[in-house]
Amino acid sequence: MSEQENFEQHLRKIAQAHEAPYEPNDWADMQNRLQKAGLTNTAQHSPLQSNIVRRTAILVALVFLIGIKIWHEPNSQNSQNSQKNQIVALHIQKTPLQFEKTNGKQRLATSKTTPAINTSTIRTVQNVATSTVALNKPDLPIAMTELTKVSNTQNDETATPLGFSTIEPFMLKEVSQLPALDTLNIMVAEIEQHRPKRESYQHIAFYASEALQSNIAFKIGSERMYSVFAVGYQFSGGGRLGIGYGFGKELRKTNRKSLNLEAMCYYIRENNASPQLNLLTQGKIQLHHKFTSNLSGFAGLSFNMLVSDYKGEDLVTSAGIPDWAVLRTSINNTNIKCWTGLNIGLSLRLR
Amino acid sequence: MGLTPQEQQMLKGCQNGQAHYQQILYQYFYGKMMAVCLRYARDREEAKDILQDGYVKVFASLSNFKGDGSFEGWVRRIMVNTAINHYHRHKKYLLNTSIEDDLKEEYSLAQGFDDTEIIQKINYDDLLVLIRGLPPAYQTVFNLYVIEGYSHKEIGEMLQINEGTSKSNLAKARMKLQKNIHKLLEDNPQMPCV
Repeated sequence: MSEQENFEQHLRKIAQAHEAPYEPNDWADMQNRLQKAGLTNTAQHSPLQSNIVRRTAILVALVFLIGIKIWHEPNSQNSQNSQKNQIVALHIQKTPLQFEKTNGKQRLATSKTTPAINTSTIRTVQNVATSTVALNKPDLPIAMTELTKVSNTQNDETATPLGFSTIEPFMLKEVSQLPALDTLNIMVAEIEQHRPKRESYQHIAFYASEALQSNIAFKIGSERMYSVFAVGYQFSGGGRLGIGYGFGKELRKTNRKSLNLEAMCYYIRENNASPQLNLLTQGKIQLHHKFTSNLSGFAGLSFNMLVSDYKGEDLVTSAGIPDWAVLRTSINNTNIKCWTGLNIGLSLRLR
Repeated sequence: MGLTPQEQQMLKGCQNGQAHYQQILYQYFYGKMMAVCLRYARDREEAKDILQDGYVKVFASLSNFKGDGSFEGWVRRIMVNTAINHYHRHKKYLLNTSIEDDLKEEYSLAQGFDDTEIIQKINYDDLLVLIRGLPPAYQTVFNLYVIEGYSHKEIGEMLQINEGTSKSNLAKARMKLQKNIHKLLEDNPQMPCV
């Protein structure tokens, strides 16, 4: 090879190896040119992706509706099952009856009678609530059905029902056809309402998801609200570690099945990358099925949003978790992706 | 050569006109393509104009890319063609230095590319200075032949000149380049670390 060829080969080598530093302002100028040329789509979505967005929205709505239904049903059952009422004391209260004449008819003066019936007390000691219930004398069958209602406080109009209906002030109007009585004997019962003590919720869960293949989570709290501490790792794509915290709620439908709602936030650390903004926020809905008293399996959907400054070698945010993101956008060089994912695993009850 | 999955994803997004993928593609090739444009331009502003025009062509004609060759090579060819169009559009405004007389002198100055140590230590900035020191016609032919590897026939078609003119321009470019190297050495005695 001649000296000239050697020289030119060297020039070719350094020319082809060189890369000019990136200037972000040049992209802003480029965007303007592309918009003028009609080459960029401000809607951000292809028709295919719009279709996926619509399907996802429908799916989310369906899951929401099913969740609301399951939420409603077990709660109404729970309120009945969890409160055990027990009569702890009975006594007779003599209530003087006063009658008044209206349009020539004799009617019971309710203002005189109802306060006596409504007199009640409530006290709460830890998980036990005691209230007074008013019952009518058994030998007055007409009034009975109406008087078996209960009042929790002295003022019915503003009372907060404690699992019962409040007394209606006009209830005794209908007893006007009863034989004239001076006094109505009313049986007053003290009822203890036993509310079951909330069980502690301590579970350890092992599960897989599309964002992080292997996960372990520790859940502690109560069924109504528990905290979730999670760690996940993905072995493919160069490795990815996620450390998350969140909270959840168990909605029990049957003895064997329950629905869990969880909200989580993960910090994702990409391997060989310096720490930077890379946050994965998840909303999860999981159906649990108990195999034994301590072991259950679960599967569910997750709704994910990844906000990230990380760019892999391919310049795709977070090395492409996942490939089917329904929304990808970039705001000031921060990438945002949203997608619907799956998670499946086993949950072990510790206590 | 097939496309990598990332390139396929990027292309699909760009074909759908998604700004996110357009930005990724822009950033992905920015460094290399700007380096190409800098060699054909007189300064950075001109290089940026060529680059932006080239990218608009890339985005507009993505559907023409069949995927049977290197995508980077395809983008590079568009950039080079854009640079040549730019040259054609502006050549009447470019300074037309008379170098024929200089060359007579340069023949005597030419000592050949015989200093291996100096050659090996020329860096990209030196290369830019040397190439930009050439008249536009020589600069373009030198870039196309020496750096890009086009033949004289291809260069003739691209620049709408005959093959002989291309060869002649290259020879003159080489001689001018030698002169520029000597000038560079005289101005910077510390060379090769210019």
